Amino acid sequence: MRGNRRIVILLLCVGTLHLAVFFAGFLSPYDFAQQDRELPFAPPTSLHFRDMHGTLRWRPSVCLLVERPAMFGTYDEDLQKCFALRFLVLGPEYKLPGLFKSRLHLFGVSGPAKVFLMGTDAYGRDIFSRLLYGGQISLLSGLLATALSLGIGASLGTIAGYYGGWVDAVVMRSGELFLALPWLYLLFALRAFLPLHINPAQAFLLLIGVIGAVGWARPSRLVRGIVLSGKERHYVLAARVFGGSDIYLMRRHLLPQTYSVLLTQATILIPQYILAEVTLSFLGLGVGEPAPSWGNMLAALQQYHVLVSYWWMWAPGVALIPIVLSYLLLASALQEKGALHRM
Amino acid sequence: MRYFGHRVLQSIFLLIGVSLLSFAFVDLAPGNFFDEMRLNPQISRETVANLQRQYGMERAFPIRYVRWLKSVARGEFGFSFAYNAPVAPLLWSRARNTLLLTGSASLLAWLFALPLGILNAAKSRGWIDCAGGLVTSVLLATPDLLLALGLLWLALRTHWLPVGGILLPESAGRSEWQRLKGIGVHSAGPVLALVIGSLPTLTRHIRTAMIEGLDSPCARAVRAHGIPRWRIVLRHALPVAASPLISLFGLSLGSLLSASLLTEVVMSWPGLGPLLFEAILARDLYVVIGAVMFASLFLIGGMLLGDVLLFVADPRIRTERLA
Amino acid sequence: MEIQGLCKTYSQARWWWRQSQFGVRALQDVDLVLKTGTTLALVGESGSGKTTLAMCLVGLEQPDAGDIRFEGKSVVGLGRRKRMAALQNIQLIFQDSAGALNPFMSAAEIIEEPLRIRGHEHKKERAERSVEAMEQVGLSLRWKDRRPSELSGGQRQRLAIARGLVLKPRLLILDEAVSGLDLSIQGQIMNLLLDLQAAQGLSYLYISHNLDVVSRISDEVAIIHEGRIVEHGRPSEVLASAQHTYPQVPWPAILTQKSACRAHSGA
Repeated sequence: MRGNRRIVILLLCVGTLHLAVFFAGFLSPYDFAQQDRELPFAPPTSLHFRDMHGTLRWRPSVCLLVERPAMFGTYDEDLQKCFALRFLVLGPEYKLPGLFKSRLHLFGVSGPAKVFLMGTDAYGRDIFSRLLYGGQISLLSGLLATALSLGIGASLGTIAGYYGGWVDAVVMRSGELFLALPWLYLLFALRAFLPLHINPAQAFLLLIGVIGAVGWARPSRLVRGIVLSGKERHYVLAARVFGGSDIYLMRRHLLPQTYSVLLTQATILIPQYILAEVTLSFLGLGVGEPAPSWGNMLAALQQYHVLVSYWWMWAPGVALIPIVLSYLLLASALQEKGALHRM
Repeated sequence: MRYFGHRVLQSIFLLIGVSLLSFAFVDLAPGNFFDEMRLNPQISRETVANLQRQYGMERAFPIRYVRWLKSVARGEFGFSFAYNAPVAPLLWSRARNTLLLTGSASLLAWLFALPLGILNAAKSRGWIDCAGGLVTSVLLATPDLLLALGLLWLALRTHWLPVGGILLPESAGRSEWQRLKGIGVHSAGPVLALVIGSLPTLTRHIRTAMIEGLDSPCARAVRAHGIPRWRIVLRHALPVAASPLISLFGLSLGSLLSASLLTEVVMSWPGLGPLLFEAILARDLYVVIGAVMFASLFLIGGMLLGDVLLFVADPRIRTERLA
Repeated sequence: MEIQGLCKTYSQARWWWRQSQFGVRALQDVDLVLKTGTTLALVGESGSGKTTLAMCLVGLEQPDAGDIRFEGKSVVGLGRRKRMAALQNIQLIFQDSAGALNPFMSAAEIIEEPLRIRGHEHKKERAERSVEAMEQVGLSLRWKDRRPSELSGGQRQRLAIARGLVLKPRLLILDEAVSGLDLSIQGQIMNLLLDLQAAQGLSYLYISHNLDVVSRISDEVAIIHEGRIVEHGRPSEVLASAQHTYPQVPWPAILTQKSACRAHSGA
């Protein structure tokens, strides 16, 4: 079926992007906090496929950058001092999140030259490495916050739909309350009035908590609708006859009916939440230095001279586009499939 | 009429609930305006304590809430610590600027999206449609932040648009017309950002609604009679498509105050967004609550308006309700 | 089983104020007696209250008034646990097998579910009981791991019956158990039910609107009309008097529905 194939392809896309970010330590040549004070705002390093004698080589080489005298931030390449790019090298130690530590990197340069695939920022930190590590934070917060929202929404929606009566009324009214507050404003207000200056780890968890807790209302409504009609299905009644308790019924028979809706909601919420994290970090209310996040990397663009002169600093913003796009396409593909099912 | 009454009552309850909720969130959180002051060694402890007592900050939560409600009734919406003035006039002037921005952006967006969406729906398939779809998707995926930054970059590079602010510096003595022109020129950047940001979603919604309208039984029946395409689109499909679009319109009216927060902050437009942001950084309690309430008011009002418009426009809802 | 004076009214009340005079009288003063090992058929048109009665008997609904006695003991007004224990011997088989079986579960899981809920923890024992049940209903074991959507209508109904039998009940309530199936399959299922009754001494409460089928397998027939039992007795007597006393009910249409039972039993 063409529809299914499209979904699988999109899932693969999304999966690859997430996987690339997961292996940030392996794929990036440098640590995200490693500074090179001699090379602030260096442009992306050009890879030379011809060596000093002009012969074509399969292994690219990178030349040493020297600052042009009397001009800050402009560099020349010293073509006499070029070093080959090596693959599968040992470099600074990193830890794959939740797994083991390693020192193996995909590529690196042995020698004083540096390979900055996407240039450097104001402190001489490699943007490419920070992009991957920052992706870990931004994407992960999107995923975790979505899980929180859906978890709260599904539980409350199931309880409201199953028991009905005043429980239902309370849950639905509170949901309306949350929906009546403009989302971004609520997020800001909530986040801002919690301690502003906290370390990145705490900020990360806080951010997930706040973003996730604000968005439970819409999923809970959808789940409630499904549970309202689903609890009258005959197999649910049969299980009640067998003596199934309320919790059993909700877990075994009602929740599975909500899976497809929850999946579609997830594909809609994840990009929204990723963007929420980026926005908050951009404005300084999210994850702060030195931990990289696409938001706080983009914050450098608030200075006009950076905005105009150093185009490689836009990398985190541009990286958002394929991710959001894949999620959007996935969401519409799933919705079409769902509509087809119902027909 | 009973339906309206019911909805209005519901909205009022919602507003009260919202005010309680935002007050609770913002008030019960740790940290307040005077923390900064306390850090300053030049200001004595007693002064800070006095100031706190003056603003009534050490009272219990319900008392503070009731005092705030009284202030709202007086039309003041609380008191700003940072600006040393009542909150309401502050909110009004900033909200006016924001509405100027989002109002024109909304209008322009709908103006462009309606024909685009209708045309798109009426003649699907073809490479124009494909290419358009691609552009729309990419634009849809572009975050507002990027759009705002992009336009800022454009403004800086090309000097076509002024950057930041709302008035030209020399506009103090100028005529009304020139002031308006100044405002218009300054708003071009943010308005453009907002329009480009909302155009894809809007076009998509209109297109979906139109396709459903064209597929509806009444439109299909009419097509069988051989009536020309454009007439079907306008007279038969459009009314069916209108109802979801009308509620969408009501909702978008509701988000007029809140949709542009990021754009305003990035492009330095003096609207409600930057006010909220500054107040947050300064921990100016009542400004934050006031701004959230204002935006909420609009949102609830927008939803109500959407329902009312739907009731008026769609005869099916009327009969359903009165039955 | 004895049912005395059962009443049930569905009121359209909002949860914060009651309007009990506003309701639909589903059951009014229903009296029935079902003897062990026999089949009592309950016939009525749609909306006559037969499904409500079935729900009350298995504890899905609570009657407003009246008593239900199963093997001498009353099952009305008990707390949830006691009610579940008392009603363990009564099972309900629904009409639409597709809706009565969870589409996400395999056949084996569906049959084992009552055992799992009741707390029979041993996997082996559960597996044995479910195999036994499948053999009883004539469902081949190769369908053990299939989903209900992969089975035919007849197989699904056998599966539903197997699930109903796994707790070894004494009374089976069959709510339109064979309507919606092909005629030949109807006959097979009916014969299966008769065999099971003979082998295990089950009692059946067979609910239907098809008087013809009912007259062939039941020992007694009760007709329910607008919540009241209006006739009760042997099939032949009831058939004759029903046409007479209640002309507005479309008895001719009900009576002329053919059944495959006739074809199978040869009568």
